[in-house]
Amino acid sequence: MSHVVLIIEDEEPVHRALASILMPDVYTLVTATEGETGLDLALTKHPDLILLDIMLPGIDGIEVLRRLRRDEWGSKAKVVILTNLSDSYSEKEAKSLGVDEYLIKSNVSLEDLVKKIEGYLS
Amino acid sequence: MDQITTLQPNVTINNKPGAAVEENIVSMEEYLQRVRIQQMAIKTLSEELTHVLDLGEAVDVVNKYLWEIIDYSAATYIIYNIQEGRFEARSYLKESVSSQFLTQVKKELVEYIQKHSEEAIVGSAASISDLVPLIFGVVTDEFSKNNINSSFITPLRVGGKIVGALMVTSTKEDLYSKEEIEFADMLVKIASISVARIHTFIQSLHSRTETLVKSISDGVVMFDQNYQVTFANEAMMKYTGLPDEGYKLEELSRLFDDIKLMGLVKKSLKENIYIKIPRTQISRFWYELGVIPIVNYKGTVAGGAIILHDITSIVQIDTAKTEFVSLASHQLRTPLAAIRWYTEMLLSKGNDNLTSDQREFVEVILTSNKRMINLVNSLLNVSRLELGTFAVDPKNADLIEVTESALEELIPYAEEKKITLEKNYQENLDKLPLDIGLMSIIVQNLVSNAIKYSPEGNKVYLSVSREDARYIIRVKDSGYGIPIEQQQQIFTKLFRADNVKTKHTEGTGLGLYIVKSILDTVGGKISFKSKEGEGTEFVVELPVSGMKSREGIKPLEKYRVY
Repeated sequence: MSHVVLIIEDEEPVHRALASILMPDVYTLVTATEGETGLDLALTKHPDLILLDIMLPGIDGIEVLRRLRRDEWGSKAKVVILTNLSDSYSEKEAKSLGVDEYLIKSNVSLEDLVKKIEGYLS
Repeated sequence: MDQITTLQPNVTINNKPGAAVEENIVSMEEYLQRVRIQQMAIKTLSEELTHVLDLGEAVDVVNKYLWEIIDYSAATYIIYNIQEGRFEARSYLKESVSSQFLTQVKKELVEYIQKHSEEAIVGSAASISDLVPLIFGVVTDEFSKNNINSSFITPLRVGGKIVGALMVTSTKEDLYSKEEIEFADMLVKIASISVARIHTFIQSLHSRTETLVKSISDGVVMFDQNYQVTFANEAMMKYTGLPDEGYKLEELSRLFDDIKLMGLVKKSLKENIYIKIPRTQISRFWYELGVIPIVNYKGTVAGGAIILHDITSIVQIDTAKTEFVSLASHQLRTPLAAIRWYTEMLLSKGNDNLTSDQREFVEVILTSNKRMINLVNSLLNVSRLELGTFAVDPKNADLIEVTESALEELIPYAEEKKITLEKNYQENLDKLPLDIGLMSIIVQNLVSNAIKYSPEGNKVYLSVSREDARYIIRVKDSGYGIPIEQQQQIFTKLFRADNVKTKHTEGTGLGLYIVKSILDTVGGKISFKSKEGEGTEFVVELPVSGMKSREGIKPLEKYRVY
């Protein structure tokens, strides 16, 4: 059975890195480069895990999360923040909105990231 | 001696108007003796008065001499106290007199002063006639002690102005020769001149100080013991929008949202200490604030001053710099993450396409990339430490568990350098409030430094224990050590010792600065012992009460990649 992972992220290299490291037969990657489209995809496709950036064109990741949590399915969706922003109220805000983890991209190795994704989906 | 012999014997003259002139021939010997005493008195009086600032105090000194030399029943002074703006009266009784006697003395003195003193002094002193003299001596109701039978009055002057008078009185008749009156007058004049000289000196100092205070660009406000503002300079009026005097300090205190000024002022005056607040705000302007107690000549606190130094532009520049560092660091992370992940993919187990040279090159890229990531994290921490915006969030934790988990990430690094970590943990330590993230930063920095600055194959010792009211973490290596001449600087930002700069290109010079800043904030301490070529031992102390909590919006970067 394939797991659907939604990546809401405007940095294309991140999509490619994840696409090449996650086994295509185990994971179906869905990508969005803007907050609004990301939210729409989440609410229609109900992915098993959402990797969410904070700095995004249009509405930011925190706002995506806030709107997601208002939805019945979205209120329980698994969300991991994957961002480079650690210098604001966002970590506190994200945690208060019930994210599973708050990761700083540069501080996590690709290998560890994959392990964490596998962990959330097992 | 020459002076005395040239004087001719004198006759005593009754000073009472209309009284018969009686000639008392005084023996030469007796006369010389008296003159000698008077000369001595004048000489020692001048010496005694050298540091007397207050005319009232000077009069006390004068009285001591009069007491010895002149026969009297009561010596009474009325003096205008310039500092307090009122008259004071004192009567020294050598013999007991009646209260009627003293009332009469006071009446005559008051009349004298009203007649001779300047309008300004008499006018400003409310109800001089209501004065109640302080009496030193015994007051009697004996009828015989009612009458003033001999007396004289001599004025007390400061700078040519009469500010009071001394009245010497006796129940005895026919006292006070012209010579004695002159002597008393002389003593009083010496006292007045001495005090006036000190006053002139102080006034010139005061006017110099006042001109200085008026013209400086720092805001200065002065207040008395009742926290009533008595003076504010131009700069202070500009900073606060308050007038130059005539308001309560509470009004000024209300302008500060972030400090309790009244509390600081009270503490400063009570303990007679200077208090400095490095940063405070009035609306959008920033100031360094100092509270200074002002001590009067008697050594008691008579009020205080507040000084405001405008640091708005410094704070703005500092904030801009720190914000820039923060912004730049976040922006740097995006390409750094991409480089990291793509080099990791190149090096991943499934990739056999690299030659061994290529693999080695990519490994160098990854190592450098990780160093840059660490540098960015350190810069972010420094900017937060400097902005004072990082949070301290202590939770009850086991110091050994926290230390162990911080060490986990360092194990591969230690293995790579073939460093053995010897641990010595005291058993059954109580938990204490710790910010786990901050504690990890401290342990990781110290242990990774010990590994970094030790030759391959060495040992690093780590111990955690409790000693009295403190928890102690020791990190000891037998590595390169810190040159003695550079030991002072090791906690300063961007400092790296000369002997390791050449051995290791790694290292940012930020680690110990961060560790020290954290410990300063949470109430801990760090110290070290080091000898070049023999190694270094760092000692971290935490109080058993643990880390002090602090509100802040930004946690420090806990991560360090190895």
